[in-house]
Amino acid sequence: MWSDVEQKELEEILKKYPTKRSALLPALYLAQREKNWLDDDDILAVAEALEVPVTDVQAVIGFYTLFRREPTGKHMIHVCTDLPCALRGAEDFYARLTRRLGLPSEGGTTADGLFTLEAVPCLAACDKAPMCQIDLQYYENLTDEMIDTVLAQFRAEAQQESGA
Amino acid sequence: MSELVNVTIDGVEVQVPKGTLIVEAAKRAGTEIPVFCYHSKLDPVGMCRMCLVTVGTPVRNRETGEFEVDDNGKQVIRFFPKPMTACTTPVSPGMVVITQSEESIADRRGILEFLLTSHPLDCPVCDKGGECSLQDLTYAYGPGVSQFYLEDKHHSPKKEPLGDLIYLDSERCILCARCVRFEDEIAGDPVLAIDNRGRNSKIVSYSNPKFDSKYSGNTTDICPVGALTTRDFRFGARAWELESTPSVCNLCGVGCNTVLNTRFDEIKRVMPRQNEALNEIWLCDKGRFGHHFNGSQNRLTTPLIKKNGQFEAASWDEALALVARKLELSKEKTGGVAGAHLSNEDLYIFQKLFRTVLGSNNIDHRIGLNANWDDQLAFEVGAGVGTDIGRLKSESAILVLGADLDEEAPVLYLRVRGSARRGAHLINAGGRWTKLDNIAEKSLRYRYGAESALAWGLVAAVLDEGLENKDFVAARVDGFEGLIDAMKSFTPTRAAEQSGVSEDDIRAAARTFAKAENGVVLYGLESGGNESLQAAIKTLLLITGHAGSANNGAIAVLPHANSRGAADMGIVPNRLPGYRPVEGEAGLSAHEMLSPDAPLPALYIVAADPAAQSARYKAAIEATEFVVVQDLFMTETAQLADVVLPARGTAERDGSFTSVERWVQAFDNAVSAPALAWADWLAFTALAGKMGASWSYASADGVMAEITQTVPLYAEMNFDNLTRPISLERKMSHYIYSGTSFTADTREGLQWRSVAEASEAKMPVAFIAPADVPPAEGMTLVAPRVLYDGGTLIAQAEVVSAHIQPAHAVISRKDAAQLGITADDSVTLTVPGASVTVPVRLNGLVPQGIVLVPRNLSGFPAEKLLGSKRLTAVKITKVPVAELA
Amino acid sequence: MIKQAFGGTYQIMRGMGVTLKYLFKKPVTNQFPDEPVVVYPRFRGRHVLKRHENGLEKCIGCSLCAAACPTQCIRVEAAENTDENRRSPGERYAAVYEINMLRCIFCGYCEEACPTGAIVLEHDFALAEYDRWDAIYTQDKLLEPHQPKYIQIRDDEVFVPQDTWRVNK
Repeated sequence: MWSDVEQKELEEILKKYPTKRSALLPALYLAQREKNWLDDDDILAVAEALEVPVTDVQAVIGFYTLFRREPTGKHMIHVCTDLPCALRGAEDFYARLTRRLGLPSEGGTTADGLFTLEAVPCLAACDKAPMCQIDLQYYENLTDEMIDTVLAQFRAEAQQESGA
Repeated sequence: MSELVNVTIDGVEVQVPKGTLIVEAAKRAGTEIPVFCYHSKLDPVGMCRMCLVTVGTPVRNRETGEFEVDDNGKQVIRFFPKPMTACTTPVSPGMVVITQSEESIADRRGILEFLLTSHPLDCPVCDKGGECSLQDLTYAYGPGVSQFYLEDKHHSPKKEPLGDLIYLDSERCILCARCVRFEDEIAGDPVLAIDNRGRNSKIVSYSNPKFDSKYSGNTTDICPVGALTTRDFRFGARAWELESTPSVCNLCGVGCNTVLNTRFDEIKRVMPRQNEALNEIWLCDKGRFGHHFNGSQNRLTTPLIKKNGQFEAASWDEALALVARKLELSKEKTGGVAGAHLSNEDLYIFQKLFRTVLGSNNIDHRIGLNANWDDQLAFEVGAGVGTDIGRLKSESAILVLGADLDEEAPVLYLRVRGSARRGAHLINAGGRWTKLDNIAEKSLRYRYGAESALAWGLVAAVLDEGLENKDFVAARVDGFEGLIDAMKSFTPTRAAEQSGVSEDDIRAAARTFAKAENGVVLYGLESGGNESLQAAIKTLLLITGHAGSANNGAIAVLPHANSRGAADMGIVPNRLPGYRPVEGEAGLSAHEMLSPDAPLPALYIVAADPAAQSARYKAAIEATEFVVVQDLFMTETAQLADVVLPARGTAERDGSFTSVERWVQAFDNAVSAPALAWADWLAFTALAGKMGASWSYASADGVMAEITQTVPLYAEMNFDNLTRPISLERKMSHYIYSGTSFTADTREGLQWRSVAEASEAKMPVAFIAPADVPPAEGMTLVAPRVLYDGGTLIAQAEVVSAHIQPAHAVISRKDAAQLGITADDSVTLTVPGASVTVPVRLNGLVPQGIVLVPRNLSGFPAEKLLGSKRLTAVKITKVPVAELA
Repeated sequence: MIKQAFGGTYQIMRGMGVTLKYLFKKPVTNQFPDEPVVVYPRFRGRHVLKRHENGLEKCIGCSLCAAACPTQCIRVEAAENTDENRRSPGERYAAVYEINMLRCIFCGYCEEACPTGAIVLEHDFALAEYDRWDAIYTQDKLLEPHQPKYIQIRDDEVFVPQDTWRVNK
């Protein structure tokens, strides 16, 4: 399942560690990079490449929330709802966002497969709440209008891509 | 003996070795510290926090370094500000431990309250109820009520199959990880792990198939709660309703001690019985779940006599009268085959029947692929009495030669692995990868057929480097000069050429083995065990001085429960009981008896199924005029018989087995047999009576009493001695420390002494040139043994049926690629005179040029191809799928 | 002698007087089984295995009654519920439940041990059988409903106030 580029990168990663097992987290990130989640083949490939039992790889994936075992939307939206953010209205913001995206209260992936929404603990931007992280970008001091504009941008991009 | 330190635990002063954990020291002081995650066989982790105790150490004056004393002249103790985990803290000199301090009691109550936050409290329906650490410790230390809301309990599925034999109830799980650690540390099968985190943590297995371990049942024993339970005991009975009968496992040669838990005359479960010298507290899944053949519907229930090609039920009297009449005619031409599943008593009476009543030496217990294996090593240089193969340390070396212990003798594998973990030097010599290679210090990969060349190579290397134990050689070895002369032509270089192992490796292995203080050699079925190999192992042990004392010597990993006993009891054509040679001419071996060209007039086959094994045997049995078969089931051989006699299984009678380590152990009667089934010795005795002998054995121990008189090796082995209660150091510690209570009046067996131990006489050594020559061209067929084979008994145990391997062949991926074979294909294997078609499996670990066809599978493909040979050149061709259909 | 004869007659008369007195009272004898027998609510008689309102058995086959039983007259063998064959709410039900009534001493320990309130000692006391084997009550016999017509439970105030019976003792 490794592409040639990934294979090379994996070899680079392995060089950094004394034992192959130590490279498990970076190897899993690498395996997840392409499609944002890990299928059974990816896990087998990682297990074989690092000579780690499949069960151990699965347990590590289960421990960390950032490794995913199910397909996600194209863009990940993480909204912080921890206490300081909640005090600044993040919980309500999150609730309105779920409704706007047509998702249940625990979040999930939109029907068009474009966004996956999740409430997460601290993203270290309490002073600028309500805030969210879309993919790796922070969006702070959000209002409903602002987030609508951002989402509209992503939708437009996606349309352009599919059109082109 | 290591350094001792004094510690005071709850006011009791004890001396314990340095490095002992507080929890173990407390046991010596008579205090039980409650634990969940701690297990004396596993590395401590300190996960459950149940064992928190108050610990203090004597105060030293910083300037003088002296211990400070108070006004009364007592040492000043400074207690740690926080409680310590007794399971991870080693004792230090002068340490003071208080286990019942107020804060410890409060800690325990708090921990238990937390552990029970999501516990379903379904003790009334839990299979662990009554022998559950959590239940007991909650009664002892827990709070009566919980401060947590009932509605907030975390719920998960009640019955998740973790593997096909084990169910997981994660609501009950307290995440002590005993099971995970057992599989990682003890079994070496890292197939369990904890998934997710926090409240969602859960034991998972993602191996293929799930929970792929031969030792999975043990996790249910050491589980301190009811999270892991076995499939076959599910809701079988409550723990307190079971009756416990001490028994010995009859499914391989290790001789694991078991407890048969019965209720209403039915075996409900089989548990390991603690014996630290043999199986510790472990049992493989075959032993644990394989007992179900006892209650099978297919058991023979009455004697049968064949009339006009049809079996008709008969009484024992009729059947035995007929057998007696026929055997009177054949007399000394009668042949007898007795399987090595029989007890010592059966085997002794069987040979007595043949040798005294019939005057025939035609008896044998080895058929098929074991036919040529005549192990004498254990008799001469067997591992000394008191050998503890599971507790060897860095001063010891273990050489495993041609044995896949994980498949052939699972619990022995656990113990050898345990020794290797504790630092023993493990040299694993085999023709292919086996699981022991994972932990072996050195793996020697020889060419199949060159086992004896390798063994003699080790001898040559020892001699070449002058590593022999000169004192021992001078005192105990005869013919050493002659050996040196004879070995001049056989150098390590030559051995390396023949065996395919590099000379450096041979020398390094020889060095390790010779320099070690203790040395044990285990050799198994794949080594072939021919005369040259046995001589080489004996020579190696004698010249390195590894003979005649505990933890030194050879162990032959024989295939069946009582293979050792069968050799001891003289169920071979050339030896009487106790390894004495027969007077006059030796009889026929099983292979010769079962010859279609020269059939005998009558055959008496007990607990063996030769007809299923090969066409040759089948033809021979058909050609034999009169055949008696005595067995538990209507085997293929039984169908060809003229008289079929129903026998009793191990659980339905008493008797004794001798394990591969020469432990003679008694087992008891636990359940009743089908009404007309008789113990084998009783049938032989009755038959002898019909033929004029007047034997008066009333019970198995009566037979054993005679054996103690007539067989010097067994002089001590009367039932009083065999059922003597187990000595203290081999007894169970409380089950809180180890898991489910293995209650039964535990007993220890006895080991007989090998020649090297019993006498001071010099023992001869002589060079026998390696004889086996590997097949020159093409693929070589090897028949290894697998645990879940198609044996008569295990095939009837429905619970493990999913594990029983169908007939198949294994080849390496590289060979497969060359031959254009894929994993879905079948192959035809052809040798001169025979050919079989079986599905193929590909494996990256099998060496090229080797075809593995496990022995004793359904249809017996390996036996059909090999006859009585060990290796053969084989032609392999792919079978197109269309042709199969 | 005469004194004795008169004395005897007097005693007989006195005895007959008692008899005569009861001739005009309502008889104590109960026309069993045509008339119902009145028992106290806490009377411990024959066992009944209770059901939940939805008809499922309360018994989960845990065998604690058998463990508590001082005469070991209860035998339980458990089995597992499946979706096709559901006998009790949880995972486990009693496949075999037998009580040997010849051995039972009606102590009620089983009732006390039962974690689900499945086994209850109710009010039936007419347990005579023609065959000893019939005295081993099986599960179908023990399961609800079991309401013999000849039993009536007292519903009046049967509990004597506590201080009264202390004084009486």
